[in-house]
Amino acid sequence: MSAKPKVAFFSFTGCEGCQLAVLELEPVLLDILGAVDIVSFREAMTEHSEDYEIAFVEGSISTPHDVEEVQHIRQRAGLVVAIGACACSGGLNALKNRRGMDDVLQTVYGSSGSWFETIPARPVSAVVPVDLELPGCPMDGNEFVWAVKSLLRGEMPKLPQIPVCVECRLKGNVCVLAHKGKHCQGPITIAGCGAICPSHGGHCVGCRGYLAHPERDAHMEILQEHGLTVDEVRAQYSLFNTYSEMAREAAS
Amino acid sequence: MTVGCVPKGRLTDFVCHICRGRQLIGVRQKEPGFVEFAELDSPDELVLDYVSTPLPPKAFIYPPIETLVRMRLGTAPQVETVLDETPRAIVGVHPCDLHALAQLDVILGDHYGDPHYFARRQSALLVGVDCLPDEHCFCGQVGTARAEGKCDVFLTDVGLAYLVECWSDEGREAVEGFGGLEEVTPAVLEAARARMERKLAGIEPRLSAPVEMLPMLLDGHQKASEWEDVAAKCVSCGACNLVCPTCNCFDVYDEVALSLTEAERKRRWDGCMLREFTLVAGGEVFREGKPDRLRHRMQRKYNYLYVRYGSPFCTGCGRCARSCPAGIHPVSAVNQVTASES
Ligand code: SF4
Ligand code: SF4
Ligand code: SF4
Ligand code: SF4
Repeated sequence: MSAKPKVAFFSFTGCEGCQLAVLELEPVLLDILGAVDIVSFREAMTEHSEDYEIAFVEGSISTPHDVEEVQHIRQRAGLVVAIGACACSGGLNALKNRRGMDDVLQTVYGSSGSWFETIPARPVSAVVPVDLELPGCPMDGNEFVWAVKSLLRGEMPKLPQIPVCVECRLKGNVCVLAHKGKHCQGPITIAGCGAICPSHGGHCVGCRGYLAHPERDAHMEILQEHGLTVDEVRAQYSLFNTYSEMAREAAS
Repeated sequence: MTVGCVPKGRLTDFVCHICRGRQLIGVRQKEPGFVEFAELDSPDELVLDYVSTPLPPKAFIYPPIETLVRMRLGTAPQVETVLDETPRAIVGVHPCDLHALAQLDVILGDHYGDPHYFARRQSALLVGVDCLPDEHCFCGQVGTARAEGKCDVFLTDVGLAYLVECWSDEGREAVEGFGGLEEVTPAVLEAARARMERKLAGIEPRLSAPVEMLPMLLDGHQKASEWEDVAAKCVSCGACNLVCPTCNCFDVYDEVALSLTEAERKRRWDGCMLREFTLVAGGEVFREGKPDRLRHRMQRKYNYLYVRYGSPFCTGCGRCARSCPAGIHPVSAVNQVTASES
């Protein structure tokens, strides 16, 4: 890779919070700008170039037009990096997938629904090959910097397949699943956010997606002991992970 | 050596005195119902009457994440080993956790020795305190209820005062010059003895076999399938490793600056209950299922390291049991498996 790789940011269906997470990296933003050449970034600049090596893609793919555009990006970019829950797992947008698309259009646009086209929301990887996924709602800024540094060294970063619980315990947190009756999904969710939710009075809702080998049955059993029904547990898993949950259901 | 009694009203002065010139690490309130080891802003925050902390005091000798070496990259690379010799006083360490540090001394001192660990260890003054158990503690059954000689200063609650014992030269020097010590009367010694009796009586005898028998018994249960039932609800969160005062495995990784000219090599606690821990080069996972991982953890604690170093590598602190979201208690697991036919 050349000394200053050309980088572009693209946004599909989402809140653009992940692009904001990049802009919020103020202390190191100048260093990043010094190390890469950003040629397209809707949240921060008006110019746009079609010449880029790394494409950071935010948002889920939820229209036929999105599909074409992301295919176009894939053809031009050497590396496609999906950033954020929407791009990596379909995210919250996939909640609509359990309803018919006509119904969804009707709800959002009323009688003008027929003017729009929509398809079930899906992660970028469901449409084109993705080289790297940086999950989370929003994406974790520190992890983004870490990944950029690896890419600059010519290495493909590899996210450790360890649960959020590891980061949570290393902080010395009191476990909200074991001690406070909260329905924390930390044990099955990929670490990398610094266990930010349980560290600040909340609990993990799985926004970073699930481990490749989650102890899902055991986790479900624990949540059932906490008084949830199987359907209620599934509803919780579906908050950020409807797309993979539906794929599971279809396969079983 | 017993040196005197500190009236409870003078405890803060006493702690100030013995910790002079040192960073003060102690137990303080964390949130309602929970205390933690932390750097204290003032000795007034100190809580000495507590049962357990989420993380053991080990975290201040062997931190969850630490920098091992700093590197300058480029044509003339430089490497600097990072050793933390900050003088610290760690106050309020229970006997089980003192035993744990003694066990870490053994395992981290074996072979080459771990300079990062020993730099902090040798710079720390350890002040122990006695305790009363909860339903998860089982120190009395693994030989760690008393910790004679395993810290510099030891305090025992004798009602209106703490009995002060010095178990090292550093401890004697630390206490020396404190004006407020009262005489140790026979009544005080009796109170200390009664307190220990109360502690031992409060420990539920959970282990079905004498601890000395465990290596032999566990040798007969090496098949992962025998551990399936006890591991059924395990979510492989790794908490039992990460809160354990004697666990000492770590993962090493590099953090490179954006300039790509400087880097730090770091380590972070790791644990054998995590699947990724057993992933090795080439993609092989050598303990794929959680029964196999739980089997290994229990074998390490009560068999392998016991045989190798002469004491079980579990101090009975109960942290793993308190922390486990699946409610898995190591003693129940060992009892259940060793009671079954192998
Ligand atoms: S609070 Fe959640 S993330 Fe933290 S240790 Fe417990 S289950 Fe894991
Ligand atoms: S704790 Fe869970 S929900 Fe919160 S940011 Fe991390 S992965 Fe997402
Ligand atoms: S295995 Fe459990 S009880 Fe034993 S020392 Fe470790 S955390 Fe404490
Ligand atoms: S704390 Fe419990 S659930 Fe977590 S890895 Fe250990 S035994 Fe399994």
